[in-house]
Amino acid sequence: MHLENLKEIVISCISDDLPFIDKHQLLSIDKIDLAPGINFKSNDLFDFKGKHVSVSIDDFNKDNFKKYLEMLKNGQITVECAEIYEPILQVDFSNIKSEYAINEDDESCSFDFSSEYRKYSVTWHESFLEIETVEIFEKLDQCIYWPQLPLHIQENVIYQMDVKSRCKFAQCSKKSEKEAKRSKNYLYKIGVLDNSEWCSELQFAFSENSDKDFWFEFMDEYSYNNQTIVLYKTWKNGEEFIKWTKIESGKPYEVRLKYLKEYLSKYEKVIKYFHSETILLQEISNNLNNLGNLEKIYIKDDTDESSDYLKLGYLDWKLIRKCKHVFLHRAVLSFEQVLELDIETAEIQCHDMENKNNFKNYLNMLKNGRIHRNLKKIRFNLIKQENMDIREFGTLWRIEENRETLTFRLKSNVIENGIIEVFQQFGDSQCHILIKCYEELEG
Amino acid sequence: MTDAAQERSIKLLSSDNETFQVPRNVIRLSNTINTLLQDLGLDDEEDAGDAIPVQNVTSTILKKVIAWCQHHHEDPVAADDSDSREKRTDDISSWDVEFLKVDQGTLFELILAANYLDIKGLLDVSCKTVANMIKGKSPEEIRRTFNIKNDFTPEEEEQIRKENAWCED
Repeated sequence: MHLENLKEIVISCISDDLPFIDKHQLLSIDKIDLAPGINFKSNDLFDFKGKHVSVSIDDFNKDNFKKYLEMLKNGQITVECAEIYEPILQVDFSNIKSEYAINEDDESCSFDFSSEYRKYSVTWHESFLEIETVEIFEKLDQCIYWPQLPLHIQENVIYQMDVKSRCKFAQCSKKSEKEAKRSKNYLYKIGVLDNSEWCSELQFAFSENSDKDFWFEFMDEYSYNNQTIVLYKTWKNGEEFIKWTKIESGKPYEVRLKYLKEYLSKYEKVIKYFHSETILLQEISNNLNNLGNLEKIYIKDDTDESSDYLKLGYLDWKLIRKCKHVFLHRAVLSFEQVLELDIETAEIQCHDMENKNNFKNYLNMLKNGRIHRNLKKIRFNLIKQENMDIREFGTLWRIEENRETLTFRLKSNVIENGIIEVFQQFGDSQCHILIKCYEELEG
Repeated sequence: MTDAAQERSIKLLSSDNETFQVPRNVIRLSNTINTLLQDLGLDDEEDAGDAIPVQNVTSTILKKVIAWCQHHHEDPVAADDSDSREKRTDDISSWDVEFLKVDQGTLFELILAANYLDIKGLLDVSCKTVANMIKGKSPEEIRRTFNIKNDFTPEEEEQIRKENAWCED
């Protein structure tokens, strides 16, 4: 009887005429499951190369047990599961207690130990002892050696990873982090942004200090397994990083808001540029508390005017007093607030400015250098067009009319060759007044 | 390729000098071999002559590659990947799952062979299998699986852990 080519041998009952089994024929069989009664010696057990060994060992004792554990521990033999029936050692681990950290009081008779490449669990059952591989530590030469994979294959593998795996992978090493987050396009390519709608509604720019650039830009959010994930990118010292973070389950707007709050609280002192297309003014106002370094603010709230969310005027103008560039498409500032700004460029609504006396005063203060000395351009969006028509200043300044545009010019009293030019345009779209300040070139 | 050519076979020589006779319509999945035959003007030849050396692939792996091509040679040609298409790793056929139940060393060599022979389907499915291997693994387990050395400082590691905390279960 030749058994060498068997992959598996299972004998579950004993008959009197069972032939003698030559254990040498069993050495390489993957699975050996032989009923109690077909007894082997400990030395046989040490020689088996199969993954599963379930046999009776009639000379198994404390010493043989210890030797078997040592051989497994040293990697001389490996086994996925060994079941040793009717061993005579019973529950006596006295000579291995300290070595295998078995608790004196432990009567469950179960303990773990590890070889270099495997973790084994040993459990004493009622009639047999079980030694099982519970974890395999991949052996170096049997592993996929990532650094040896050609770059495009690494990319292909990352490309196939799900988002969670990719985030775990990014935590493995600096290089893997870079590989996993290479670029927006790459992220798109590898599926991070599949099915997402690009919106780029918020942009921030930060400056950590004067020596280093630290820019931050909100890029996108997308939903994945009912979680909204926010993607952002940063630049540090000229190098671009793409990062992503998860907020939590929630509607995109709520998530954006939470995200906004989180980052504003963290970075508000270094924010230099705040840009929002749709984030609600009220919420922004509630969360912008200390934007001392803010140089530019851009808020364009395109929310439907009928929406309850539209709360014009909630933005605290004090936050933007030092801003050089202010673009508030819907927020309404008062005349006094406008005067307090120190702006270079701006687009605002100021209903007080639609009072022609206020407007005349504004121009005079501008002309005399009392306000907005660095102003280059300001655009006042008029809420009610009929309230303001610069032709009413025709007795003060010479109005030029060119199709739909009215223009007049003032000379600055404090800046040599300084010109203040006022335009008003009427059309189908919102009426506005634009004021430009510049120095006229000689000749 | 003509019908007659498809019925012919070619010989491939593994790096350990074992020769394999492979039907041409099976090995057509390898762009490398296709290009080679076309460049040498052997595509329509009755006898492609000497065995084509596949220097980077051992007989054990070449045998598996041929088996994969044999099973898949009648598959419809896959369209080019679209960036907008959702990426999935759970669409591996049961045959491929069984086929790729190999130790990591073999899988690694299969990937390299699929790459060398430019067999896109095999490369993708084996890369997917690798990607699946890391599903549910911790960064430490991934490092061990791929032999990646952790070069983060403890502070950096903590930072990146925080950044990716969302993916913790």
